[in-house]
Amino acid sequence: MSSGDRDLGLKLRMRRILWAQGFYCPVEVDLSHYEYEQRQLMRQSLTDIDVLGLRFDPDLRAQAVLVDCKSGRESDPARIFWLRGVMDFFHAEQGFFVKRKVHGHARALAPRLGIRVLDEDGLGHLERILRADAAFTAFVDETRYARMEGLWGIDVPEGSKPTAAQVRVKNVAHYLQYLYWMVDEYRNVQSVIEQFGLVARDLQGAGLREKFLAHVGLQRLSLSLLRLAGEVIGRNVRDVPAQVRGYIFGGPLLLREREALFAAVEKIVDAKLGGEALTLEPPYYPELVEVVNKLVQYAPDASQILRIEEAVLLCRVFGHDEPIEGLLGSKPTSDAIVLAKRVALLLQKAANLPETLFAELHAL
Amino acid sequence: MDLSTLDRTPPHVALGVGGRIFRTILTAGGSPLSYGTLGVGQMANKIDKHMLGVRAQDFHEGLKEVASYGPKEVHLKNTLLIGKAATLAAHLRGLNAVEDHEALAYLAADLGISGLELDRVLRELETVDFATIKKNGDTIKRIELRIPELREGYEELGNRWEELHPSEVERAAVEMLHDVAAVPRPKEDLQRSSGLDTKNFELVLSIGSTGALMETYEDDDGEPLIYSPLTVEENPRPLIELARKFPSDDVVLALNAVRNEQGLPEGIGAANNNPVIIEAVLSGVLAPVRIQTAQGERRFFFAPRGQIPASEKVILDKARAILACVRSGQHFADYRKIFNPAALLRKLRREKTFSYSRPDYPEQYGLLVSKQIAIIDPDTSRDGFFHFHLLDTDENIKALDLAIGLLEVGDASTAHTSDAQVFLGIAGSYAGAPATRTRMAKFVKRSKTASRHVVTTISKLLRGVVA
Repeated sequence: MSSGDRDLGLKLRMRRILWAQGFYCPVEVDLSHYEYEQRQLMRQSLTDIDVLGLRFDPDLRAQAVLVDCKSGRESDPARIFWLRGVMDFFHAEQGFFVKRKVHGHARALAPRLGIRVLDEDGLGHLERILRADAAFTAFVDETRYARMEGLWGIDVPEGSKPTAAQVRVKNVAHYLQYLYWMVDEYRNVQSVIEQFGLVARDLQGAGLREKFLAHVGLQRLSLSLLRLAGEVIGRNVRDVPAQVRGYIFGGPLLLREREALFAAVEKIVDAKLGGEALTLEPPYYPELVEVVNKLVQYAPDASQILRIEEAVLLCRVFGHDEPIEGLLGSKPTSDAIVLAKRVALLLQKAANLPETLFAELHAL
Repeated sequence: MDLSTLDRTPPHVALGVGGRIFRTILTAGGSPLSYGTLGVGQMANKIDKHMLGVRAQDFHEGLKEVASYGPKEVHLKNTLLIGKAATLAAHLRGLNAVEDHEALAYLAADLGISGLELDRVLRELETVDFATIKKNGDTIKRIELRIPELREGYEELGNRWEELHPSEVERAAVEMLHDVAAVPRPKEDLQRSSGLDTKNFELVLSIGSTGALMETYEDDDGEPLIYSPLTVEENPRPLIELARKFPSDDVVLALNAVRNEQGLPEGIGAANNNPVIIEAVLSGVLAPVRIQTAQGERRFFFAPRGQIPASEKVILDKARAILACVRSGQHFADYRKIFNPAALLRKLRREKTFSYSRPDYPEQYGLLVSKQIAIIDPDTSRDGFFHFHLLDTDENIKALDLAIGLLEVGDASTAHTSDAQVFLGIAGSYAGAPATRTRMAKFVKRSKTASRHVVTTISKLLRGVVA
């Protein structure tokens, strides 16, 4: 999504419509493909997602909705077939094709592919019945959105080269924007934490740019932890530690492989480094398991944490100290707030980030 | 080894390693032997951070009913503070947040933490990162909890106890309790190893005795020995006799092995031809539970457990029976051995039955039928198979909770029951503390943190972290 694009208005309105129905809509979602070119791993942009809506049921079953907003002259059927493909990639049950004026044959095709079409009338209707036309204004505030977008990544003046610290930060933004959506999901929990561990020193200033990056990172980590907790509930809620272990390391077979690899490497390391221990579990692993256990136990509250985090970002970090209750539609439960903070603490401590990055969340 | 054929003649006592033997006993012929001694400040049973937290809680639990007693206030203030924090944490474990501060104060009072002390205790929980106190001005708005549920919580509290710089007397008191809880010690040697002068040593004994934590027993020779009622069920004599027959290190090791794996089967692990354990069973120090299996009679050993009121002895007896049956399935089942005993018992508590019928329920769980804990019915749709049903009585549920507690912790602290949910009206967790004896789970420390760059880099790679 780009503030310079002509579809921005439609996209923000769709974010608001989905939000009014309990969805969370992550920012900076792009799909890329990676391939070796001239002995370097190069990113090839595949497509950007206009709006991705995610919602967790009280038992942490995830639902995904994808939205494609177009105002140009592209072929409607071609976009609808494309959208179906992206929906499959994201395991999204539903999709919306949004265009101010939709061609008749697109209306006939879309339902057969599980896609709804929305034109200007349809959008207005949804906004009215969901009472989203006057509420949740933060979502359609293009100025606020442009400000956020301007702070994404790094700011290098034209003609200058980025510093080493800026390159490190850019890599993290790159990961959150592209790689996060492409890698096997089980790798994301550890990877988000480790990525931020690499830039902990670079984020010490805790300015708005750093806070934005950290909050997007927090949302990504929360999303992955909720997916993990949902898996635990779906598999065997009686044995959280074993389920977490199996998931985090890629399933029973990969776990066994990794254990064998660690045992083998430990022998080499043991001989060369004087007996220093090499462990499969990262140092923050015990707390990670505790957090997942809490998300499982308090699943209905846990299902709300992404929306709380987004509300804090929009209302407190980028807003003017606006109450988050207005954006959420009601007062969040204490348990949901405490869980959101617990995930933030996990990221903060495991990656050694400054407390001030999440000060607005901890103030709740 | 068949216990009935054991030669029960007291063995000659071997000297322990490193001059750590401290006792004087007689050989079979009656000749006195003198033993090496522990140095000043050297305790026989080394205490780690985890057990520091447990013993601090023991002191609090023992002394909480003692309204005003100078020595405890003067000499044990840090220990009691950490003990109170441990007790409160153990009872709040499983909760996510507490907003009703008044209800929390009621709960704390029930746990021996006065209103004046509660804020200080909460600050200690904050210091060890088990909680965050959110305030509106001076008023507590919410207490956000992060008390570990799937790993130990005592280690952090033990660390905090160290940070508080306990006095010499305080340190000696905790170590003395830990020492005599493992095995009774001659008073003279205990004082020497404590490093305390007579005045302070007697003071610590007085505090311990006031809290029913340390008591003196005089044997036939008139030699005073110090033991802990925490680990002696009724009469301390059998344990003292055992301590006389074997090197103290061996006794400590053997009893700790059983405490760490309550229901340890005869012939398995530390109970495989261990003369100390065999003698402990014969003399009544260890309580065996017998189960008749297809391969013959099996015995399962339990460490002594003190401070159980007479009214709850039957619950302990039932808990041991339950655990013995589960251990039998864990070690000796002909097919589909029990992989995770604690998970199985938690499921039984929740569902009051097992999912599938099996042919071996009558022999594996027959003991529970005779003890009125369960019934076993034939599976009408599958010949030779049986269903297991727990008899859902208050007493049986308490016994099941205690069995789960014994599995998870073994030798736990002396925390008494007080259900936080009653006070706070908040649903607990699946992994929450048992209702009868709330306690923190012991965490098996897996490894040290690798420090060098190459090690961490390799670790990330092997873990699948995206570069």
